[in-house]
Amino acid sequence: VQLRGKDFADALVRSGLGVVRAGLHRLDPVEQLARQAVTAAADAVVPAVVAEIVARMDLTRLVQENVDLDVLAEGIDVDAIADRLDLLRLARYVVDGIDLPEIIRESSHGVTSDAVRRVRTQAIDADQAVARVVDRLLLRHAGSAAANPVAP
Amino acid sequence: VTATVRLVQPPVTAFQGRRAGVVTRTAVAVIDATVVLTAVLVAYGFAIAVIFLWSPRQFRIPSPRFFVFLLVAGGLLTLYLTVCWTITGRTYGDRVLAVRVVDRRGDVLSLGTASLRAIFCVLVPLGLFWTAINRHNRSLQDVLLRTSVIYDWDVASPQPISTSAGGEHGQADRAPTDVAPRALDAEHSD
Repeated sequence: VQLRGKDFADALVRSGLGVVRAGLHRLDPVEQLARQAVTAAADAVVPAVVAEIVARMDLTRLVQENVDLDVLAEGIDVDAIADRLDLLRLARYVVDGIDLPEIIRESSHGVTSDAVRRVRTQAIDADQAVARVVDRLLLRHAGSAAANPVAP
Repeated sequence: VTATVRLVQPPVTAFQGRRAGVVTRTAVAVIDATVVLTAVLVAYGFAIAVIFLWSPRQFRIPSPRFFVFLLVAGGLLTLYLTVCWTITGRTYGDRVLAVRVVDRRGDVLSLGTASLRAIFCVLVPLGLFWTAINRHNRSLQDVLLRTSVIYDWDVASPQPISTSAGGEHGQADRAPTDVAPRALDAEHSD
């Protein structure tokens, strides 16, 4: 904000001095001399004064409170800006920043482990089903020992 | 008392450390047989390529007798099973189906037991189906060598967690090395 304030102050001073110098051409020599003295004094004092004033102001807040940024944004030609951008280079820069192989590896690993988990649980279910059928065929009403808890 | 146990998915905790059934074990056998068969075929292709490069003019595709093929495949399968059961207790098929081959104390098989079991499995593959009939889910090989194939889902959850023993799921939460010995001894005594 301070830097912007200084720029603003410089621009203000420069335009003010320009106006004063333009007016000097139409004045007589004595008055011109007086004007030059005033101008020299203004050259020395005004920039410092304006810079101090601007430094004490919150320009961002000033703009936020008094400028309709939406209206300004509507006037911006985004397409023209996009045309000036090297979008391919920008995309490559973004892709370089993302670890795509790691993301693909992680997601594929998740899918694989889910599939393997499903196969394992289905195999256990099938084991139980076969055990039940065999128990019934062999008239083992108590059920197979392997199907019951094995630990005390 | 604090013990290190591993996180096992809830539906499987009830089966952790128990003997695997015939369907799971058949699936394991199919996967392992496929692995070895693929290895034999790759080796065969490699041999063909080497013979062709050695003398392209006299090249003829070697066609070994079926007996030789069976001998090579059987030998390779025996070696594969022996090495896997001795080192980790798991073949590739065991890893996929999350089971482990253990001895009567719940430990990894010794070299002698593993090689005997491997030879027996290759020579009498139908002995596997005794699992369906046996009350304790034990194949013919298991009965003779006092080995077991147990569910061991630790391969599915590599991150070990530390918690107090006998937690919410009690016995089923424990690692198979904790569960298997007592369980197996108890069953071998009948």
